[in-house]
Amino acid sequence: MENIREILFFLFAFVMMGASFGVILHKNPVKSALFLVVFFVSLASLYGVLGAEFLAVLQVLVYVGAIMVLFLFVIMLIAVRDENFENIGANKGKTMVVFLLVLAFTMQFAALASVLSSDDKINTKTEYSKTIDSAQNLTIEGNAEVLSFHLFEKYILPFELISIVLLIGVIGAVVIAKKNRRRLE
Amino acid sequence: MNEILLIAAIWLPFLGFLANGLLSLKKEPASQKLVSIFGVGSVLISFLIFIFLTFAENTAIVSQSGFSAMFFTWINVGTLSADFAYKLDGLSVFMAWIVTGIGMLIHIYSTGYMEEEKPHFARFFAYLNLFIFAMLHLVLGDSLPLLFLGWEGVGLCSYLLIGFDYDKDFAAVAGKKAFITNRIGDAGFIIGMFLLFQLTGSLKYDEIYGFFGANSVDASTLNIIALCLFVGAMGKSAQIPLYVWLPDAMAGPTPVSALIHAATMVTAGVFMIARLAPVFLGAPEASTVIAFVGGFTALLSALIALTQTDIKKVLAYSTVSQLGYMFMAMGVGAYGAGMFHLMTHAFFKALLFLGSGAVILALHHEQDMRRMGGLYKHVKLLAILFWVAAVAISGIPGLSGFFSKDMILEMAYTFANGGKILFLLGFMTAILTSFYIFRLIFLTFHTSGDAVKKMEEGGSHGHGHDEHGHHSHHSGLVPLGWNIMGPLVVLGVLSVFGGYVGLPHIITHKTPGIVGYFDQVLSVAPSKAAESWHQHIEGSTAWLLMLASIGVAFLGLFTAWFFYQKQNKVPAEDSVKRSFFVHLSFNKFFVDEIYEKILLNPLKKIADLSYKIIDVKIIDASIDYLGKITLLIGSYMRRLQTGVTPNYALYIVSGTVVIAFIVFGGLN
Amino acid sequence: MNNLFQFTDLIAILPQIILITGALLILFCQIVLPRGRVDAAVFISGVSAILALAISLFGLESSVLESIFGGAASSIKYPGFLDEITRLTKIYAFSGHTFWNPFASIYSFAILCCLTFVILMAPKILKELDLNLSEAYQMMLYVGAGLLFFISANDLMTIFISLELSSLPLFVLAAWDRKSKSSNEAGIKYFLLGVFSAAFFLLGTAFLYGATGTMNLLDISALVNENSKMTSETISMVIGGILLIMVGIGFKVAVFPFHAWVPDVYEGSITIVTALMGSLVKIGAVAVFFKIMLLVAKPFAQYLMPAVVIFSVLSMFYGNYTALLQENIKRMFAFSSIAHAGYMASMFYIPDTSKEGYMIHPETSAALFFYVFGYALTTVLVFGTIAYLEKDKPVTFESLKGLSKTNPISAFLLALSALSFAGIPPMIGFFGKFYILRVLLKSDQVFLALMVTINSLIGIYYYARVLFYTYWDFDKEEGTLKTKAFRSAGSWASGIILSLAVLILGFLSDPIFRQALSASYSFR
Repeated sequence: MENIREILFFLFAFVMMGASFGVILHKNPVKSALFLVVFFVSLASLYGVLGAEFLAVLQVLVYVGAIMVLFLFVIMLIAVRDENFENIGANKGKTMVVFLLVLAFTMQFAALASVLSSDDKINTKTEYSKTIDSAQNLTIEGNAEVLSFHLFEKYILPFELISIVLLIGVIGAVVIAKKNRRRLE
Repeated sequence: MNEILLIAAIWLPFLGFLANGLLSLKKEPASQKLVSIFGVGSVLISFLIFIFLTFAENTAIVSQSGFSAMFFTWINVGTLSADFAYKLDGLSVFMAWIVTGIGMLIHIYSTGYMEEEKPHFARFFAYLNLFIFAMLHLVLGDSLPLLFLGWEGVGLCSYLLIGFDYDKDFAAVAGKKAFITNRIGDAGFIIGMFLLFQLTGSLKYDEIYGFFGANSVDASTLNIIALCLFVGAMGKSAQIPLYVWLPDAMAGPTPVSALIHAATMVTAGVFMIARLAPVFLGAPEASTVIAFVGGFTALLSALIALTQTDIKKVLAYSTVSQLGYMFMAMGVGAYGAGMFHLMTHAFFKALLFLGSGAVILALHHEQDMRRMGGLYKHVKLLAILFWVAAVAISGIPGLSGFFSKDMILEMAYTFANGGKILFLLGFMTAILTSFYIFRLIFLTFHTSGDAVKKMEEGGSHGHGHDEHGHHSHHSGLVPLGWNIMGPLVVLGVLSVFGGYVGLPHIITHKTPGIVGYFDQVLSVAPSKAAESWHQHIEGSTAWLLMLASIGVAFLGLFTAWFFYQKQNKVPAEDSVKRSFFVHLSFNKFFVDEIYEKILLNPLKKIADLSYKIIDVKIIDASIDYLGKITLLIGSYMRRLQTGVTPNYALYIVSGTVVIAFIVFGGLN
Repeated sequence: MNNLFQFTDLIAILPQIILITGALLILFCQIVLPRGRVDAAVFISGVSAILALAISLFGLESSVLESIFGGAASSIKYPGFLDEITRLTKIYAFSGHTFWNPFASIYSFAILCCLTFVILMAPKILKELDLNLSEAYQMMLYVGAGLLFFISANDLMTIFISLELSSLPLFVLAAWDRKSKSSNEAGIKYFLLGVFSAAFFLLGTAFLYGATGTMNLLDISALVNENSKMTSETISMVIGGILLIMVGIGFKVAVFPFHAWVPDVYEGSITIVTALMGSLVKIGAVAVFFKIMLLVAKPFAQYLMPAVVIFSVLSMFYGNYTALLQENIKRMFAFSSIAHAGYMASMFYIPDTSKEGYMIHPETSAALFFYVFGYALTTVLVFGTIAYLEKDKPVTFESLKGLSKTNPISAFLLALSALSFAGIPPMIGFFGKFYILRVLLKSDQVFLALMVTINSLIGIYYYARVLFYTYWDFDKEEGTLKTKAFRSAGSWASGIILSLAVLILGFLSDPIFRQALSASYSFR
């Protein structure tokens, strides 16, 4: 069981990475958006692997079903064509630089981890006493129940804050996009 | 509650300063009534509060540590801490009375004196209030930093007020001179303060007293500290060799001369010595130096005062001379006598200055005594008050000056290290004092000449250097209002009776009375140390000395009468050749000229040379070069700022990678 | 299951609640009121900012008033119920998501001060630019609330969300002047780069969470400080996480090389918004950096120190050198703010050499607070002055000529703040630098101290240029800027208070310093 989980994790993780590269590298915005859909779906699958089926379903419903459809509508409505993005190719050198830099960072990270593992001074055997508690509860109680408890009890403050962030987003968008500002007054 | 009152009393003049300062910023002159209310009111209330506190907190004030109030923390660095905390004890309550009391009288007087100065009225009162504020910090602060703050504050106000007519050259120059001379003294004072801090580890009076109570300190260390502090006192209180600024300071308006340059600020040095009595008592050699400097200052300035013709100049030199007396007293360890003289001097010298201001005002800003005379007929009350002050200062028995001066002379006589010489200096000064002050009176009020006539004839001629009055027609005296005469009368009464608080001591030679009071409040039993400095004298000798000093006072009076009333002499015009000694005295012993030759000119040369060679050739050149390189680097660096957003993002990413390299590199 | 939250939880975020309620009230007024919405918005925002400011003081140690005003003030007591609030609020609230203690209180106080002054200054300016919408004040309140949450958050998730809460309205405000190209550009640049750096921050929090299994800062702190619980992987993950968080906050503080947005955004936004960005954001970012340093990064500080040293020194040099050549005043102050970020960054990991092992020098937080507080006040003053100075085109050095004659007040305030920035006594900037140098020297960081000194010297050059142009007598020629300083009562009030603060606060530095010092202990 554990093995299957691990295999699935790596599978979806790789799909996700590939999809993200697709999003940022593809010339055609519609295809980029579709890559994003792939990304979201595999993310939802990851949730599923962790046992959070409710969250997985929500992810697919909200992001894929609602947000991405809206995205695609907008893209198609403003009719972006391929040639508008011609100069992306001209920037390949810079893209490569960024890519290499990120790679360098990751490799340092990995190298460091391996160096430290061979270090005797640090005890590699002990693990954290504190584990991620929510995953265990998931199987005992219902998915939606755990999620709602977390949202409305432990994480009530961030939850409320996010609602304000969204409010700001809405107001900000209106203020910036409104053509005749006098009307707002 | 009383703490808050004390703080309020000290900060009220500051509010007055703010109010008047703001009013003075207005384009059109502010209402004089309003300014007067702010100016006089703040000082008056402050004075009343001090009276109240004196009685309400009487026991606390006379106790060792005094009545204290903490306002807020100011500096707290390492072991050095200085707060805006105030200490109302026997010594400072006395000074607070003088500062606010006489200050209030002079504020009232100024409302009359400055009436013509419409555009500058508010500014004047703002400065005066600021001065009171600073002076209160000087006397009431509970630590040396606060005293120094007040010290500098009064210096600043003095500078501002001397140069009050800043559009006149001589006033601006006099202000500068006062400021620079004081800076020389301040340097000494600061060094002394640091040395004291090094020694005692604190700058709070209570802790300093405690230190001296617990430890015995080597006299040689204390001599150095005491001398450094005395250099500061030299500057502020106009002693040789730094006295030269005070006569020039008469360029300021007369109320300023009375308040700052006679009654209060210039006595700051005396107060400081009394405040730090333990330091000076532990330094006998330094004290001897102080006594002699005071003695010589007294004599020299009295000599100069003999021949001056400007009425304010005479009084200025007289002030220097009287300050010399005070330092003589401080030097011989007679702190009580010194403080006593400070008080009586504040009364009669303020009276003299304000009186001379009234004369000047009445005569349309005439200051030259050669063009006065016979004023007695016109302003009887003023003349009587002048007589009172003159009798007081000359030491004729019955009035205040006699008690304090006699006490100083007696203490000087008994001083072990050259006391006889000190006494001689003081004695000669006493003769001269009596002479020049009565000379002033006869020339102004009594000679057969008539100032009013002279003034009307003189027309545009001879305005001295004070050109306040722009009257095209000079007819008659300017009438003097109640706000001018009122304070004079009060001061007159004080000059008469102020001395009697010292009477018990004079008669019994025991401690009660004001002198004993000071001996008591100067916390560290000064009499014990000071007594060893004095030889004992017989009571009969003391009476003899007293008789002698009374005698010389009358001698001076008689001589002055003989020359100026009987023979009706009037001092010669400036251009007339004088005999050698008169010439020396009239030109103030050429001290200013000597300073210029010996000190200023070489310094100017050095400054000039170092500017031309070191500054231009070396420093400027290298700085220019450095600046050019800097700008060059800058022009390269700013190329990073491309304005292209992806580039900025790239910086962020590369920055992250570089950090990671550095940090993880350090881990391995 | 227990209750959702308790009453005390709400008290712990009282200032934030006041700000957000104010913002929502403004929104409500917009719907209800037929006209006069903007005036209502100005009023509501001002009142709520001042109210929050007053409340924020109650977290301070009660001795603060005494330490400032001495014995005479000790008779003054809070009214009873406020005392109760003070007692109640020193707690962790919302299941450990926020806290309210002297640390949060003192930084909130600084932020709310600046916010109040900006709100007081803004209305007249916005009206003249024809941009006076009630949403502006709403956004300003959100920025304040977001930063207050940022400071008092004790949970990685809350920290991140409040970071977003504080930056989103700023993005909107940066693009406020829609007609101006540069403002639009500033908005989009700030948005893109802000989101980009926030991603780094988020990745950092993910690393920390992955390494420790908790998002509570105090729990993380307990774990990382206990060596036996750490494995090699987790150590590297924690360090990596801290690094990425440093990048995210470094962007907000504008440390080289995360600074690049600063000149363009500062210059492009309308000036009063620049005042908001330059002051508030810096205080918040510094506070959070210090919080994370104290709680999470302390055991690894010796590894992080070299990076901080390099970036702080580079920031100082870069900011100062580029500021030398600027002709636009706003841009010049923007670059100089990078240099100031460098001075602040030099304090980020100062070890206490007097103790065994690696300890953060206790005075760093106090020195840092004093510096950033003084810097923020001066920034509000200088950008507020410039906002009232400029008309149609940006203020350049050339246009400052003869300003002392045409507009003496603005000239004086510009000179005052330039002197403060340059660190000339007795302005507040001097005391800030003084404390920084003192801490650096106390912990033997001679190199950093030297760098700070050299850079202060370079800085004097371009700050002196401000004085030179405003006060130099250019052949009695009249200045070209004819505007009047501070054209409304509110801006006058804040201008006067700010300039007094810049002049006088240095003398009161000691009580403030001690308060900040005790605040840094509030996590123990």
